[in-house]
Parts: sequence; structure tokens; C-alpha cells
Amino acid sequence: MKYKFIYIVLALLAIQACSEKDLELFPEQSLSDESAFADANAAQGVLFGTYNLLQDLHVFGSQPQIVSDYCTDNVNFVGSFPSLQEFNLYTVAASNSTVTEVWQDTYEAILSSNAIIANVPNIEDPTLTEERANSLIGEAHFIRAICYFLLADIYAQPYQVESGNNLAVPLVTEPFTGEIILYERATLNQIHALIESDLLEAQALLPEVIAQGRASSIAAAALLSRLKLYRNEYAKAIEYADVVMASSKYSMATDFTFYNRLSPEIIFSIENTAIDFENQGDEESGSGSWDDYYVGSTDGGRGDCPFSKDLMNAFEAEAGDRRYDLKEPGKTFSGEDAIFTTKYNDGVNNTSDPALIRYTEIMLNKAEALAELNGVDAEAISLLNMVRSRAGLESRTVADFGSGSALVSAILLERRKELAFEGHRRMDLLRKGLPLRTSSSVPASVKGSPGVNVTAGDPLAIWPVPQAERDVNPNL
Amino acid sequence: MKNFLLLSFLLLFLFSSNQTWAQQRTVSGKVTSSSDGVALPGVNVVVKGTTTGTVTDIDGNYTLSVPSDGGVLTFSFIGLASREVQIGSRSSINVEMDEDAKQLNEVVVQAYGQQSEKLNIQQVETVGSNAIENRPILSPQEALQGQAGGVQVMGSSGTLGTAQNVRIRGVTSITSGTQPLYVIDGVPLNDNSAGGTGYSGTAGGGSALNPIFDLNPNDIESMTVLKDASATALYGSRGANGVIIITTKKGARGEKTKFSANYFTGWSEATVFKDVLSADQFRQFRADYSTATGTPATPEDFNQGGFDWLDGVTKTGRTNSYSMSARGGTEKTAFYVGGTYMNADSYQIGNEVEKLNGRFNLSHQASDAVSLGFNLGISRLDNDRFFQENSTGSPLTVAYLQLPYVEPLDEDGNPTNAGYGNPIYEQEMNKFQFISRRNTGNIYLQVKPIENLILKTDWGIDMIQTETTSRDVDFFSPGGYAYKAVVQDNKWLNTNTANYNFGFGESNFSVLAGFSFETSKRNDITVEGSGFVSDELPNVGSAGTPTTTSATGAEWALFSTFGRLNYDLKNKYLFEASIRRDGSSRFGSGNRFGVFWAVSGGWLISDEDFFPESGLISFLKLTSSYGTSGNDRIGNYASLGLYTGGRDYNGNPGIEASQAANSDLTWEQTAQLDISLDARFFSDRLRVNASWYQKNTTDLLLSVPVPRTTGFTSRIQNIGEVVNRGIDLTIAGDVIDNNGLKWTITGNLGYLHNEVLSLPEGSSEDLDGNKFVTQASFSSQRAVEGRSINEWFLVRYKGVNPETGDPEWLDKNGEVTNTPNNPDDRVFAGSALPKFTGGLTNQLYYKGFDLRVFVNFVSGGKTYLADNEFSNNIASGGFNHTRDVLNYWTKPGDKTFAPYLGSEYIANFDNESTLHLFDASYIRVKNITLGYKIPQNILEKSRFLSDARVYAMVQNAFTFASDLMDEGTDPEVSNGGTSSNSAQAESFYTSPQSRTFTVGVSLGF
Repeated sequence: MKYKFIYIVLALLAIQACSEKDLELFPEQSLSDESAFADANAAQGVLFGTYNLLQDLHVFGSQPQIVSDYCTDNVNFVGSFPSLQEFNLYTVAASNSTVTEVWQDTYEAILSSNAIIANVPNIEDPTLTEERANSLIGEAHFIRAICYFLLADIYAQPYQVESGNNLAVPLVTEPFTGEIILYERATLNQIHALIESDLLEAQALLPEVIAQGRASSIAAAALLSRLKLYRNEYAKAIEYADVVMASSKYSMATDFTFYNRLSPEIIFSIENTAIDFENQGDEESGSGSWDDYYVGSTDGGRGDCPFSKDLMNAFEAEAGDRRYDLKEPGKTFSGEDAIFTTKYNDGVNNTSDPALIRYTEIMLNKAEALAELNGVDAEAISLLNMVRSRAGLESRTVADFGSGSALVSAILLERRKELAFEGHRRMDLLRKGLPLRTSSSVPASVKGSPGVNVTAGDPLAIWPVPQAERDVNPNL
Repeated sequence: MKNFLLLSFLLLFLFSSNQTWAQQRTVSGKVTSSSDGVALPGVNVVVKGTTTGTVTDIDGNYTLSVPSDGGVLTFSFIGLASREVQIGSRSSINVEMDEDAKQLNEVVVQAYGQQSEKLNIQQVETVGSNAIENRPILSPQEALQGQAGGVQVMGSSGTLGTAQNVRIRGVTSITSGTQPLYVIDGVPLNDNSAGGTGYSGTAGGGSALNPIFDLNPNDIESMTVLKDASATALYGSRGANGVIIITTKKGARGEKTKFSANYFTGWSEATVFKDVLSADQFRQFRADYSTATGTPATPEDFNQGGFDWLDGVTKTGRTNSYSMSARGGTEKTAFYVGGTYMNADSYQIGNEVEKLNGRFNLSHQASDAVSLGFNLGISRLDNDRFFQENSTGSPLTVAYLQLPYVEPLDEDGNPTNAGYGNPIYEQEMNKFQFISRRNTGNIYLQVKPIENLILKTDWGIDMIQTETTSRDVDFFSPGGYAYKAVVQDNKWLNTNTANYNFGFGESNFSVLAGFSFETSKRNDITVEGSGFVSDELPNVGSAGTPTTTSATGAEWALFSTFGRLNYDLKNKYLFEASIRRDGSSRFGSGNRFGVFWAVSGGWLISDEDFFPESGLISFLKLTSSYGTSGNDRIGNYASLGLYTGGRDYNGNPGIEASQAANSDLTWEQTAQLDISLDARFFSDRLRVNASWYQKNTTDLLLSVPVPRTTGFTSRIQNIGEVVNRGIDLTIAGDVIDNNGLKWTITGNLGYLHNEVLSLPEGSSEDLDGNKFVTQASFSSQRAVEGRSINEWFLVRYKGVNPETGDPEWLDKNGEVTNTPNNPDDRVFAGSALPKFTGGLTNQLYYKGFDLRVFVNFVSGGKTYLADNEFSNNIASGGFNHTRDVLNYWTKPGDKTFAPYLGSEYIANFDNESTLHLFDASYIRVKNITLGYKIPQNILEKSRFLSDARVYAMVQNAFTFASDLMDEGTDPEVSNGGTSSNSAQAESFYTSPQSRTFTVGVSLGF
């Protein structure tokens, strides 16, 4: 009997020992911080994870872009979400969820890029060739640049207001290691300087093409040309546009079938697939996507963003525009008839691939820079005519333009029609000192005159710093 | 682990092979009623201080093995005064029992055992089967509503199967789980407390499905709520939110087999709906609005036609329940078998639940020293769901928002799909089904190797498998869409306990020691696809484009050792101490183990010699306890810095930073002090139990917001402190008890004060420097230092200025403004938590009739109707409005709800403000039941029926004094759901509770 109790005590101890080991359980769907940069394949995974972050609804997943569109004269926003309606009515509060989430999700992508830039050089792995490391780091630089570009455009007044000395967003270039730093807002010039150095890095490290939807040296040059145009540095804008146009890998497509396909027209796009929606943490569920907003409600979308009357007038002013064929009738969210773009056309699986940088943008960048530098410039008109001719419109001649500014206006009009629904309109108006809306261009869904005559410098022209971020960072 | 299993078996084998250790002999006798000498069947006969016992048979006879050295036999039966009889050397003991209402020697259930009610010094509340059976409730927790002081139960939605919000003595956690631990027959249930999307997802709303939905209420013998630290300490790291122990029905040895059959059928409707504009009203209103804003219009300018969508998506709900059970036993074996089929069809289209439950409980006394048994519950639940609340898949939400001139059928009689969709045909043509299959059970072996020592090993499982299927037809989702998710969460645990009782002189000791290992593995598989050739192809495999293929797993384990000591001196001075050491896989290796403990004492004052024997006070007991328990519901790997997989970019696999590391993470600790008084007056006719408690929770697991420039929005830290302080009061009285008329009133009241004592340095601060944590889903609800965990922070709406017709708000300083600054002009607008909750039950018995009227009430707390931001959005013609908006300003002097339609501030009217915040108080006649027991002389003619009762019942009969009901919203709403504590008391077109009329019959034979 006595012995039996001793057995029991021993048994208890043995159970204790083996059970403590049973408590060491590790996640099955995640890697630790260390493992994520333990080898080349894991780091490659972080890079694709970063691209995946770009697909987020609030980064390049459409919301900042559609909001920017319907704050202008291109889109008649008819959606029901009050947080989006606030932009339409120019009553955006700092607590607006879109204002918060665009900031949040874009910084997520930036911090992910920072981690790649900081950690990849320390990886010891024979399969991490120099070429592979360059690609990882170069693509991360490009992603960081395009993210800061997005933030600067919406949270800061354009360069033209205070020559870039105005406040933009915090400049974060290091990965998060546990210590919380309360950043202040950097100036627009500081942000632009980082974008420029990132893009130069990317240009140096990357090949001319990896695959459609991936960063490349040409995409970096193309974005540099946009940056320089936005900063009125026209000679530089031309220089980088020429780099793009000198590349044999990219060219203007012959017609408009390139949308959502592989095409040399597309310099940088986000390549969405059917598995991205409602999955992948992209938060694109019922609340939106490019397809969801721009496709009519009977074709699987929400039908929130049809053509505005003003944009239709712009197209109809010059008959025969093939770009105006990229439309179809549909129903809005509340069942009204409306006209929608077909640049995004997959309301079911949301696979449309937004072309963030396109060849004709670069041509128009160069044309505009030339016209700004040289007035009525023959090369500028020739570039303009190439774009117009693909659209089925007549060529212009030098005689058509009485002044450089008339040419610039014509190029802006062409930009409006060529790049409609691709997220350019707001910045094109602001940087040119033009009002986001005029009394005649207020979309039908808006009562009164919100946004009329709002130009660069007006606080209503940009988004406020999110309240939630100010709550945790008193330095903002 | 294999060693562990072997050892446990070995251990038992050691004991079970030594059953002859105990010296036993047999005692038998007959139990009769003292009033009429009739034999009493079903009386519990127990050797005091042990669990050895039996039950008298139909003739009142019993036979029981007792220790050779005698001891005391306890005879107990509901409604009779228990008796204790010294065995001495007798072998035959006949006993007469008196009727008694006080039932003080009933046993109460507690962690890993039970205790006599008299000697119990833990704060527990028990709800018995009579309050649970045959009510048209789907969720067992509903039976607790208003029944127990300090236990707040609120429905979260009227959608069938949604979770009940159960709060035991307040809210101790800001971000971790706040729901109690459920334990069925010793098996702590899986509740997916590790976070994640639950077993079923919330389908658009915050109201997740109920974790104990699978349990059949008719199989429940009792539900015991453990409230104070002495009661919960033995559940250690999971006890902080309180514990609900569910005991299922058992048979009794020697009891004649008794069959019972129950059937009820019910009709249900919503308690309340919002009034929305008809098509004509809408056209007129939009025309008036358009005219007032400068574009003259008439109703003819708008689309014609019209349809009452609310009428289209609702109907009379139906419930049918059929159940059969049998219980009984032979000399050595007792059993309970029960089965129920229930079908509940909601008052809303597209929501129907079918439940099939079976239960088999068996116990067997193999010898005097060895007993064994098992309890097994199996169930299948088939839930036809819909999307709810903030989703256009919710029929009710669509009915409220749909423009009323949109019609469900076009001129040719074909379904339309315009506006917010067509819920009538969506529910009919699309499929959204949730099936849950669950087996919960345990098997045990109990050995008594020596006198007064009981060893028990108990093996439990909780295996749940859920299957969610949805399929949208081509008409509503071009190409068609299908989804299938299967989740399995399989738990097993082993608990081994030793219980030893001994005493000397006037001291009695009882010692419990034990250890347990518990582990659960969750797996899920999700597939999704779109693009089908035909709607006839139901499965994801037929989809042209598979969009999701996912399989994930997670595992957790808990290893615990625990012990409890009970000591009483002269059955008057009571003392108890308990301790538990838990090790959990959820925490970092440095903080894996936690120790929880409690001490408590009690004094049976009325048993003192100085206490007057026959005074006003017939019973008086004072108890107090202090101790700790924990909360581990933070997700399985919350301490690790993580990159999560399953990401993709254009076919390339990726990972993404998902969590910031914090290796110091550990449990939330709750320390609770309780002082209680149990008193009975006038020979027990008036019974009062009052408790005061204070629960201090420290090391709160807080998701602390961090600047988004870190790449994260928050990081989980152990920081902050919350106190819950309150009073629980229960008063019961037998108002009348003569001439066959009996009237009993039972009332209980819980008062709760909840306060956040401290929040971390670096927390968000508002403009006045108050630290706060934003509750996740709604930015205007905050946990605020110095205030409650759920504090509203909103711009104050003042009203419509009768002179100008403009809407007016107050700025931060209380000055009237037409253009409030939303973030900066917000002020504290009250707490979402109620101050008082309680219930009042009246029971009347007269001749065969019984009437039960149960009223529950909630006082204090405010609820925010986020849906009114849409319904009151006058400036938008994109959705329908509630009828309130018709009451708009037209001329100076008008006192109206809505402003002048041409007011330049009209676009701000619907904005987030206290306009949408309402007092959540209410009084609800929750249940009225009228029953009639068919008299025995009639039953005897049937030759087989032993009892029969018919009854009629109204559930949620009337609601009074509710501002929310006036607003068309049921007060029992919680858009934030139950999984965490965020966004309490918020509604977004949440389904109202149902008012149910039920008739039923129960037969015994």
C-alpha cells in the first residue's frame, strides 16, 4: 500500500513534466519576425506581401483614387456610405474612416518596404544572389516611393502652394522594432526628396521589366517624370519621360483593348486576381474595389461612380472619340440609370488591374512640360496628336494654338479624357491652380455647391490628418 | 502525451483493483411522509460527507452500503426538510420526513464537486430545470435572464441562434473576452475564445452565434452561476468572467423508469419594427425637400409604384418542439435518455433553425467502492441564415433602406434586382446554411480505496464541427457564387481528483486535490468560387474561378494543478481555501504559469446558542471571500511577433507583418472581495440574500493603439486596471400559503458600478487630457480612465430651433452651434452599461393551476442607433426614411423632430451625435405562463399516464418604459456582439427580439 502511493506521486511528477512540454505550441499560419528574414525565399515572400498590401482597398485598391475622382468634375458619386459621401459634400471630418484607413494601410506598406530595405542586406543565404537582392531592395524602394507619393498627394497641399515647404506626412524610413517614435509631419519637399532618392535607387537596381505589375527601372523613371511635372521641374520631367520612351520594352498600344491585359502600354499596374477580393486581408469585402465602385449594380458592382454629366459633355464636345466607347449603361446602387466606364469590368470577381502608370501619361507628361517650357511647341503637339490619333480624333497643328497656355489647356483636356477614372484628375486640377469643381460641373448627386472654386491652398482641397492618429501622436 | 495517458490509466487501475480496502456493510429502510405516512419515492439518501448514496424506490425503500463504523445518513428531497440520522450499529433505518419550504440542505454545485447549501460559503446562483424546460427558448442562457442577481443576460439580436450577452458581475476586460466559461458535466466547452472569426462568422453583423446553442434546454437539470472568487478560483485562468456550470439530467438508482413527452407549438412576431415611409409618403417628402432646397418638384417627378418591403420580409414565425425522455434505474445502474427535435422559423424570411439533440447519461455502481458512468450529448443544428445588420444581404436592413417605390417584381412578374437588392427573392433563391454537429461528453471512474477518500478520473470531449454553405444564383451574383467553410474544434481533457473527508472532535475537514490537462485543436477549410454554368450546380467544385482555398489550424493547451480545503467547526464556523496553478500555451515562455487562489469564511449565526430559537429571524449566515482568477482570452499566439502567410500577389505567395511582438504578455488578473449575508425570516417565509462585491482587474490585456506610422494600429499589452463594484440582492417570499393557494414572489436586483482606474502611459488622450481606449468597431464608444469601459463620446444634439428651423448642436463649451466640429466638440454622453438589472417572478398555484409571471428590467445605460444616421439622412434621397422625418419644421414656432427642409445645415442633421443616443432602460414582461395539471382521478382512467400538464405561454409579452421601443428598436441589441467588449449597446437595424405565443403539453407515464 505504501509503495502504491509512492508510485502515484512519481506518476504525478511525470505527468507534470510531459505536460509542460505540451504547452509549447506555435502558430501554424505565421512566421516569427526572425524567420521572415531568415532566407531569400522568406524575404521574397515579404516583398510579395508588400505588393499584396498595395492591393488593399485603401492603398491602390481604389478608394483614395475614386474619392479623388468624385471630388472633381469627372464622377457623379451616388453611393450610400456616409463616410464616402462626406468627400462628395466636402464635409470630411478628421474622424472619417477613409481618411484614417488610407493613412494606416499606406504606412503598413511603407513599413513593410522599410523592413525589406533594412533586413535584406543582412540575410546570409547562398541563394540570395546579388541580382535577387537588388531586385528585392529595388522593388521595395519603388513601392515606398509610390506610397509616399499617394500620401503626399492627398494629405499635403501641392508643391505649387508654398514651393513644397508646406507640411505633408511623417517621414518614416526605418522598420518598426518596438520603440514608438512620435514623428512630426515632414515638409512636402522632404517627402518628395525621399521619393526621388527611392526612385533613383530603384532605377539603378532594377531591370527594365520583371513582369507586368512589378516595379522596374522604367516604372521608376516614369514616376520620376510625374514627380518632376508635379514640381514644375519641366526639364527633368522631359528627361525622365525620354528614359521611358527610349526603352524598347514599352510603347503606346494601337487601340484600347489593353485594359486589364498584358500590354507594353502598361508601365506599372496592380495585377488583381479573383482570389484577392474578400481574402488576403485586403479588406475589399462588401465595401468596395475598382470594379465594385465603377461597375453598375446589375453587373455585380455597386454602381457608385458613374460618369458625370460634365465629363460626358467633355467627350461629346468632340465627336468620334474612341475612348468614349469605353462605357456602358447600367444601374446605380439605388436603381437609377447611369453610364459607367468599362475600364474596370469585372463586378463579379474584381480582377480588373488598375494601370497606375501608363505610356500615354508619360507622353502627355512630356508634352505638357515642353509646352510649359517652350510655349507652342511642335514636339508637344506631335505627342498630343499621337494620343489623339489613337482615340480617332483629328490632329492639331501649331496654328490651332494661340499661346502656350492654350496648348497646355488642350493637353490637360486630353489628359482628362485619356486618363479618366485612373486617379489623375484631382492632382491635374490642383497643380494647375484650377478649381476642383465649377458651378457648372457640380455632379448631379450634390445639392448646393460644395467644392466649387476650391483650388490648391484651400484646406478643403486636401484631407485632414486622421483624428485617430492625432489622438496617439501629439506631435501631429 | 502517451505517457500521460498510460499513467492515468495505471493510476486508476491501482485503485480500482483495491476495492476491498473499504470495510462496508449494508443498511436498508423505508422513507415515509410524516403527514400522511405515504411512501416517498426518489428521496436522496447519502452517507454524510461522502458522495455515496442512493435514492428510494417507488415504495420508499432504499438499500445502501455504509461504513462499518457507522456515520450519519442524510435524507433529502425537494420540498421536504432534510433529516440526518446516526447509523450507529443499526442495519435498518426507517425515516419520516416533514414538509419544508426552505430546502436548506439541498446541495449546490460548485467547481469539481458539490456542497450542502447550508454549509456553502460561495456565492453561486442556481436555476433549476423548472425554469428552463418547455420554454420556447433556443439559447439556454435565456433561462438565466433576470433570475440571478448580478447576472446580466441580454439578447444581442432577434436573429435565431445569435449569442446571448452574459455578464457576471460586470465587465472585467476591455479587449479580451467578457463572457463566462461554460462547463457541462465537468467539461469546459469550446467557445472559440481564442479569437478569430468564430465557428460561423457574424455574417455582416456583430451578433455571432451562441456557443452553447447546441445544448438542448430540456436536458438541463440545473445551471449554476459561480460569482465570487471562492467559487471561481478553481477555474483559475478562465474564471474572471464567472463560470456557468451546467448539470444535465441524471437518473436515480432504484427509481422506476419514468417517461415523459413534451410538445409545444408557438407563433412569433417581432416585438417592434421601425416605421418607414410608404411610397406615397416618400415621394411627397422628397418633393417637399426638393422644393425647399430650390428645385420645385411634385411627387409625380419621382418613380411611381410602391411596395411595403417590411411586410414583404416578415411573416408569422412558427416553432414546434417535440421531446421525449426516460429516466430511471436499477439497483446498481441509473440512466437518463432524452431526445428533442425542434424547429423554429423566424418572423423574418430566410431564417430558420432545426435542432436535433440526443442525450444519454448513465451511471453504474460496480461495487461499494467503484462507480463509473458517462454523460453524452449529441446534436445537429441546421440554421438557415441570412446576412444581418450592416449588410445589404440583411432582409430587415434592406426593408428599412430600400426606396419604397422599388418593387420586387417587374411588369412581367419577374423578380427585380434593383437598389439594395431583392431580399424576398434572394432569400428564396440563394442559399446560406450553417450546420453544426457537436458531441460533448465525459466518462468517469470513481474509486473509494479507503474510507472517506474518493478518487476520480474524468475524461471529457467537446467535438464541434460546423459547416457553412452559401450559394448565390446567377441572377443576384452574375455567374453565380459559392462558398463552403468547415471548422472543427476538437477538445479533450482529463481531470483527476482526490477528495478526502475527515474530522475529529467538532472539526470537519474536506480536502480536494487534482490535476487536469486540456487541449484543443481547431482546423478549418474554406473554399470559395464563382462562375457557374448553371444554378443547378450547387458546389464550389463546379466553379470556373476558385477564389479561395484555405486551410488553417491552431492548437492550445492548458495544464493545471489545483486543490481546495474546507474546514468547519461545529457546522457553524466555516472556512475554505482553494488554489490553482495554470500553465497555458497562450503565453510567452517566461509567463506561462499563473497561480490563482481564494480564501473564504462563513459564520452560521443562527446556529449559535445565543440566537433566539423562534424569533423573527429563522436563519442567518454571514460569509466573506477574497481571491483571484484570470482571463486568458487573447488569442493563441498573442505574445509573438508575426508575419502571417496566405498572402498572394498575382500568383506569388507572400507574407505580411501581422502582429508586433510582446514576450511579456500574461493573464489578466481579477481579485475579488465579497461580503454576503443570507437571512430568512418568519420561519423561512421571507428569504433574503445580499452580497457586496468589488472586483479589481489588473494587467488588463489591452490592445493599446500605437501610431500607424509603426505599420501597426495597436499592440497587446498587460496594462491598466478596472474595478467593478456592486450589490446583488435576492428577496423571495411566500406571500400566501394556505387552502391550496400558494403565491411566491422572487425578486433580484443587481447594481453595478464599472470604472476604469488606469490606462497605460501614452494612451490616447482627448482634448481635456482624459486617457481612453477606443472600442474597436465604433469610434464614439470609449473606455475612459475615471469612467466606465463603455462610455459614449459624442457631439450633443440640441434640437430644432423653433424660430429658424435649423438643427442645433452644442459645442464643447455648451454654446449653441449649427456647425459642430465633430471630433473636437464631442463630450461624454453617458455609459452604455446599465446600472441596475433585475427580475421579478410571481408564482401562483391553486388546485391544478399554476401561473408564472416573470418581469425583468434594466435601468441606466444608453444605446446608440447607428442606423438612424441613415434613416434620418434627409439630405440623401438614396434610401428610405423613418416616419419621424415627416415631422419637419415649416414655420416659426413649430416644435419638430426634423429641421426645415431648406435649412442650410440639413446635411449635418443625421451626423453622429446624441440625436441617435437613447436611454436603454426598459421593463419587460418576459414570460407569462399559465398551466393546468390534469387531476389524478382523471389520469387514472387513462391507465398509463402518471401526470399531464397543459400550458400556454407568452414570451416577451409587453415592454414598458423603453425609449428604444418608441424608436422602433428592441432594447436587447448589441451590434458589437459578444466576442469582445467593443461597441456595446449599438444597433444597426439589428433584428428585434420576438414575441412568442406558445401552447404545449407535457405528459408523464
